[in-house]
Amino acid sequence: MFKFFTFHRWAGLSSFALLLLLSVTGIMLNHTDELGLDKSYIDTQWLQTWYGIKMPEQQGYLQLNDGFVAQLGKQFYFNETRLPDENSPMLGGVKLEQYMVVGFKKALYLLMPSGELIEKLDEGKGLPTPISRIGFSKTAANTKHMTIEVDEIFYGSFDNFLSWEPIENKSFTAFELEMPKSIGKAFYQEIYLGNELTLERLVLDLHSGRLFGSLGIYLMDIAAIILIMLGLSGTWVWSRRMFNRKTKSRKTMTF
Amino acid sequence: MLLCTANSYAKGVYQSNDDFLKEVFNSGVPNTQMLWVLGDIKKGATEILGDKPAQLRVRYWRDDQQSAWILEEIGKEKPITVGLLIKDNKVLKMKVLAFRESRGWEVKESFFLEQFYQAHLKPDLQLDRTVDGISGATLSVRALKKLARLALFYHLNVFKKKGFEKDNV
Repeated sequence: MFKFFTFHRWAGLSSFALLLLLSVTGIMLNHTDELGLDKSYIDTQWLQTWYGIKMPEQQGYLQLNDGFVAQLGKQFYFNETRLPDENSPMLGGVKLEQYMVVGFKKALYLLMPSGELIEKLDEGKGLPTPISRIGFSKTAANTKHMTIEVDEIFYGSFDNFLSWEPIENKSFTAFELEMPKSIGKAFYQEIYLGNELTLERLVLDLHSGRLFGSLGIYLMDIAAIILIMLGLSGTWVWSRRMFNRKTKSRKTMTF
Repeated sequence: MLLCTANSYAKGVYQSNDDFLKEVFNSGVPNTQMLWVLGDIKKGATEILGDKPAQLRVRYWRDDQQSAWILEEIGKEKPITVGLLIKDNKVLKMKVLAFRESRGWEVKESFFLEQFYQAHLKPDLQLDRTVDGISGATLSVRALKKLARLALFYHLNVFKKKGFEKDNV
């Protein structure tokens, strides 16, 4: 019994820190929504470096209506406001009388001049894809009309982007990406890095031990095994004590 | 492995938007219309979603009595696309058209969606009934409840404006 008690004591003491970490992070993960873990981002540089977070290869920039549009990986921004993510590459953008339109290979984003999203158009909403260019064509009445090029066919919309029809290509001018002169990549690098690593991911990786690589996972496995053994050895020590106490009291009663 | 296989079959596009509209409008799909989510509508939508609506313009289809909506809401990380048909300010049909998350796909099953049949909005913009959740699909269930409330709210605004129906609210 002494051996079990000693094991129970030392196992408990040695794994306490790991069990504490498992419990606290477990409670946090159970309340991800309430704690807003998935909406909180970590901008600590050494943690970003630890995770290997760096600027993605897919980047696109352009200036539109006195504002800056940027695509960094799947992140999409108007100035510093993050808009819904887009995976397909950005092609360009045009400014219309009432809206701004940013074109991607598989989607068009209609924006207010303030940058607020009016609607995201994609294949499900009847948008022809994959788009290769976005720009203006001249109509028969010699006015400019926003046009997209898909598989060498030009399409325009005449009902506020509800539907699309092929149009005659008349002096098409494409609007392509261009890095605005007044900002540099460093401006968006800071924004990108500060919006990539969520607190939820950090807590999840602490909970599983993944933050410390495969060694961390094994450590957490050991902590979990020790927890099981603590339960077993605790039950054993308790039951032995109960048995001994009952035997002792029986002996006392006999005498 | 079995679970992984089940998951990979569970997520995906179950029905296209066009097919949903053809299914609910037997006599031909009406022209697409737009509802601008501004002013009081934006305020109501924000209250329902708990956040600003992602888009300022929502497409819908309507005839004299009913309206159809194809709405999206993020469950955990990715949007769930849901088609809804509203008639007499009550949910007549609700279908999950696309599910992109790795967990919570059970919300597409009819045993869950049937709970929304004939549901309507109370004055506090809540549903008139309790919808039972599914364990392991809490966020997806929450997203679908929001979308049902949102479609009912949008329907009320569209029909109120045109004076077709009396409000249930």
